[in-house]
Amino acid sequence: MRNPMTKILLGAAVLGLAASLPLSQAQAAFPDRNINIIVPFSPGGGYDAIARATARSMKKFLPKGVNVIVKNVTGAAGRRASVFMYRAKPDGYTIAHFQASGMLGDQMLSETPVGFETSKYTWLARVGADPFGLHVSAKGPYKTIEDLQKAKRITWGVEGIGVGRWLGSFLAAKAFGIDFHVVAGYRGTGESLPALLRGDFDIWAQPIDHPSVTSYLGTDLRPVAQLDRKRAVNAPDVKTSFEMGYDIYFSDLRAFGGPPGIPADIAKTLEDLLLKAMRDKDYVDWKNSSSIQLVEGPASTVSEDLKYYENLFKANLDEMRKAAKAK
Amino acid sequence: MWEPFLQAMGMLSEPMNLLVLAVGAVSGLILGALPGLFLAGLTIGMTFTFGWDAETAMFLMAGMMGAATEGGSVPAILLNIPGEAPNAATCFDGHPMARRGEAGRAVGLAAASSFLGAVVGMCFLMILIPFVKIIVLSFGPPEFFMLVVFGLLTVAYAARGNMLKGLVSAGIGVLLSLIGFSPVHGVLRFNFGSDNYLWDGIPLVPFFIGLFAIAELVNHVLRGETIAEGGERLKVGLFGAFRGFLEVFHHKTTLVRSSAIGIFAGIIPGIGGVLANFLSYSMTVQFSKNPEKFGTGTAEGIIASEASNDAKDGGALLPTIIFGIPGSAGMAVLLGAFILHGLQPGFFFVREHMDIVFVLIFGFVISNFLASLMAAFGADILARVTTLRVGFVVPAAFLLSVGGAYAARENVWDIGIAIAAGILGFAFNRFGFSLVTLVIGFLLGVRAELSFVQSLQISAGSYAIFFTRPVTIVLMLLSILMLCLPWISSRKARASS
Repeated sequence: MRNPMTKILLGAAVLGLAASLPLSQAQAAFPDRNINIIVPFSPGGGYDAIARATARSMKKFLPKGVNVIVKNVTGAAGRRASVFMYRAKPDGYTIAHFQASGMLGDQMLSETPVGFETSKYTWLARVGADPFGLHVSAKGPYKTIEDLQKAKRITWGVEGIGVGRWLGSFLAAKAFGIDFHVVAGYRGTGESLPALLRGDFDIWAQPIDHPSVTSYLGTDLRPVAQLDRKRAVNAPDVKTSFEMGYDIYFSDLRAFGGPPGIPADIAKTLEDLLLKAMRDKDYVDWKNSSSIQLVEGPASTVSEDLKYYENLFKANLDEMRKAAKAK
Repeated sequence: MWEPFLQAMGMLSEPMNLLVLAVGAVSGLILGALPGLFLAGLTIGMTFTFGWDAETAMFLMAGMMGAATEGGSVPAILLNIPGEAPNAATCFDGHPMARRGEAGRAVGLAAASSFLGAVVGMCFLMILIPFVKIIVLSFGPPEFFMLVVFGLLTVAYAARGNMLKGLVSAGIGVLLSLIGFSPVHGVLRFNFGSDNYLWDGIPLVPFFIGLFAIAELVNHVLRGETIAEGGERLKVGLFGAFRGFLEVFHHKTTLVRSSAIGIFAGIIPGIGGVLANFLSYSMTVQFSKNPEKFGTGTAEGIIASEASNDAKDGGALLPTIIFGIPGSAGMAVLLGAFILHGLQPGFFFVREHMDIVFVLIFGFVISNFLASLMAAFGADILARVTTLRVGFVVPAAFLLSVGGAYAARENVWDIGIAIAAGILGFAFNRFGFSLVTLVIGFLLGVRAELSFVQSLQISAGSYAIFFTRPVTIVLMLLSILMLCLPWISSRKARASS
């Protein structure tokens, strides 16, 4: 102790410890109150169901008295929740279950400011990516991608021009060289599926492992391609775009994220919590019984996936904007 | 068929399930009576069912959903505040009847219509299960457009008395409905500089609350004293409620027709309970021998509204179960409950989970019965609200309205919409413009545009699509017939005189 160097080092260590104490206490304290999960879509849908199942499993890993509350902030095709989250306090107590690829597309395609920047959110964990399938009616005239490529006029069913499924539909049409005309205005799977079956339009781009799609595969729906690198479990006989020689991957990227600027330690705690919840037995059992095939991943996978979509949208932006204006 | 029926009966006889059903009915009745809160409550109810047996969970969901519209009719009658959007048309005759001092009779009428509408709806559900695929698949955008045209023609009848003002009101409704993002054109219209708030158009719940409730509250303040004219004339009480309950049986045709409209609206995705409610009301006006009495507190007006909004649940259950297509917001939450309990909607649902279908049917019918009974017995007490001085009722009702407008989406701007709609509604009442035609225009305008453009997108711009499909031709002929009916009947009358 007589060594002055030792004294300096010891003093520095004590000071360092003292300085880090409030931070350590803060780390230990998070979370000390309820966490809110914001869902941008209505109750009852897939996003809502997954958020609620995650919330239920998350509670198991939280201190006593801390709950996870799911709130639906709906409107403007998900934009309202995106803006709400962008402006929320970055304290880790408000997180959201986002459709991240759609948000990015919306942001990039819009020629006016949308009020958020997708890359700036604090991404916490990937819930899964639902790769799209291209579906036609089993009773319709088209049986293969080649049939569609040969046809002069092909109509695609979408929710709205320039939003939602329109992005994936446009990119798939371009990649496969299929004609692109739209019949728009179908609100979600509920209206789109019967519309395809009754022949309102020829083709529908929709995640292939969506529960409603799974029920109809092989009976009323005929998937002609999956926009993925590997085949989905529920459609082992359907060729992927890469197998056919078309270099396109497109999915609904579902991810948990928070407002920009959540401190790194809190973000890490949330990431661990979310991953534990999504690997919990109750969550996995529920996921299996619901036939939703999601593969969770850490925050870094969300950023990687978003980078892919950013490049994809950037490469096609002018054409997409032109197509959206051409109707 | 009998095995799942008996299984469901067995489940119903379990005390726990009966208790859950009763709790669901009570909470559904209360939540339905509080504007804008039902959907949030139903979602919380769904969350509660985590870890429960699927059957018990379905008893809770059916209990809540079955009782909600009955609950929603009570504030519509007593205060002119529709608890649920599909109760809006109940205001037109329910509230005038209450103001006449017959609130008990109005609640009784609504209770019986709701219960019988639900029974008819559920009976049809069982009959229609084998045909639902054919019905849904034969109803595309061109058919929908013709249906909407048919609906818009009812405006001409609903506006009878002052046709010009009625048509102006409907036109304003159509214009208001065009606000927001147009999915078929990919543009945001009439957004007043806001990129997000008006994206989905004018929000329905605060708009209706303003139009019906706030406008009426201003009227009450100007009139003063009590909601019931004369205040002390509340002699109907429990007797009045049961009189109303039994009176429904004198209007069997209205009951059956309104239930049929409700079932049909429930089956076709996109029509919705609100539109069914108004279509049913205007069709009843049209077929009535005394159309001039509507809006003054007629029994048929209440039956038309309440039978249709409860019967629609039977219809809406069909696509929810068989296609996984929710026919209404409530059905979307039910679908969420299916997913939560590993029940896969689809054509196989009926084969694999027919017991659950019967659980839902029993749940809806019993919940409606319980809710109607509670409302009828409670009518005596509830009706006293109309004899309280306006100074007590108006502030409480205003808070309920503003709270309801906010609660539906937790958006403070929705309060502004409610107040603006309140001013509009007051002005309409004051200057003799029709709120019925305004609402019909508002509900149908954007649907007409959407299905018209969709039809042309399907046909690559050819108008022949409207003249080459059997259902559109039938609907077109019906529309023409409807236009000719007054002319035919006047010719007949002249001939007989």
